[in-house]
Amino acid sequence: MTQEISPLPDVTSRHVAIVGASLAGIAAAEELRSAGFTGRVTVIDAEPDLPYDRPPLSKQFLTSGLAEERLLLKPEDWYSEADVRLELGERAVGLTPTAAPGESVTVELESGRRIEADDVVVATGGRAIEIPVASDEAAIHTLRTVSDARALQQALTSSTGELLVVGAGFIGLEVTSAAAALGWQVTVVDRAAAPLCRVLPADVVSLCLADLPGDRVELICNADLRSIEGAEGRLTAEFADGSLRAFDEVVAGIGMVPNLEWLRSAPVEIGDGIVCDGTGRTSMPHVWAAGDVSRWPNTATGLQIRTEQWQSAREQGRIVGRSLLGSREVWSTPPYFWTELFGRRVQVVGACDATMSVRVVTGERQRAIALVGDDALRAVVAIGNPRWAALGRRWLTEAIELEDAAHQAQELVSAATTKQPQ
Amino acid sequence: MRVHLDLDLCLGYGNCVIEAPDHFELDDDSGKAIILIENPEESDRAVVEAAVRSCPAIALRLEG
Repeated sequence: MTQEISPLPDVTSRHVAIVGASLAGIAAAEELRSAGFTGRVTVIDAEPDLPYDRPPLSKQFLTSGLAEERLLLKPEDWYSEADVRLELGERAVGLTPTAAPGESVTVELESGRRIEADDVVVATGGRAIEIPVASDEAAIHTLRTVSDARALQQALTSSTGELLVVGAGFIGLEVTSAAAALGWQVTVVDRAAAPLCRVLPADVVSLCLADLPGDRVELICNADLRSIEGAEGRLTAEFADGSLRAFDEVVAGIGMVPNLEWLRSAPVEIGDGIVCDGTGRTSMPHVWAAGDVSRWPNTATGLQIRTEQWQSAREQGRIVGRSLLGSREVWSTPPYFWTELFGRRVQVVGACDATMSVRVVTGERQRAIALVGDDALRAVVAIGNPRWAALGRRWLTEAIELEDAAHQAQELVSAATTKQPQ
Repeated sequence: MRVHLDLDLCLGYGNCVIEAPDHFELDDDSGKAIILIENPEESDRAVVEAAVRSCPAIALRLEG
């Protein structure tokens, strides 16, 4: 086979291959087209399903049988209309630079096929961590993919019973919230001293869990599991203190690991995630990364960490799309995430951790604003009112003083309270 | 331009309110979005487009 030698590919023959039909991956594809890219775009994913969004999988999809079309990141016909080629059910197993002129990178697939591209975007996300002490016979649910969610939804809606949730993080607590709403008795266990204690300050956690139905949900912290055995449809968990408890279903919500194994032999720098600069560029020429698999610097927080947040993944995907076309824009927006626990919508703008001070302003109808930060405002938590989250983001972007923010928060909450009908 | 909201798709995430608080609100009772300015000024295009694209439920659409 002869190769055509051309010094630079012209735009229409340029090929961008995106590995991972994830939120970040599809955001990159969409941005490429929105920005006018006329070359080829291919999106590769190991899963057979049309690209979908994850947040509803631990919320409405479990409780109210949300139709799967509502999960799609893009309607099915978008891909042909936007001329984005989907290669579904194809697992990437390697990434290599090629010597062929005009083709820079090769994605090796498990099927034996190879896809060559001028640029590759890695958006392979991660997978749920399984419980190491569970026996092979113990059928334990994890919740990451739509396939996981279908199985869990089926289990939680076909009957009620006793559910063990291992891990009091966001996934564990959201599943708990859904299961309790469906009538299950839930026991949540976590090794840490408190739920969400690495992510949010204790006062904020209390606000999030204020409506936890104590008659249906038991939260056990400082708890370690020795084993989980399965037999005849029941699962038995042995705790570190030797006690045994039986359950009908078990869900593991103990975190995720980034899907990096396929890059083991690739000449790309990897730490906790693929190391990127603020535009999404990795250390390997013509290779970019975005989403849960990557670690980017953020100028608003001054941190370079791997985040597992929806908003970050979407923003990173969009930035990569523009970077591919020459943009020098770096990631500079304050982080944002949200959760829904036991009927409360919680939104967190900014980067906080459990060690920071918190000032809470509570209003009526269970709404609250929490200002997090010691010397300066670092994060704003809005409970039950998205408008306050919007204002919180403005405060952070404008870097207003903590005292000013506290003052404004007080005024907001009072104003909302006085508006209540008599 | 005109902003369209599909109430069936809307899941009340509130991202639109965060991106464009002058253009969107969340209804206290239904928990779903409300368009405050149906025909935004051209000068607001950037912030309205950001709000439309921020919706995880793809419930917002911009025409024109």
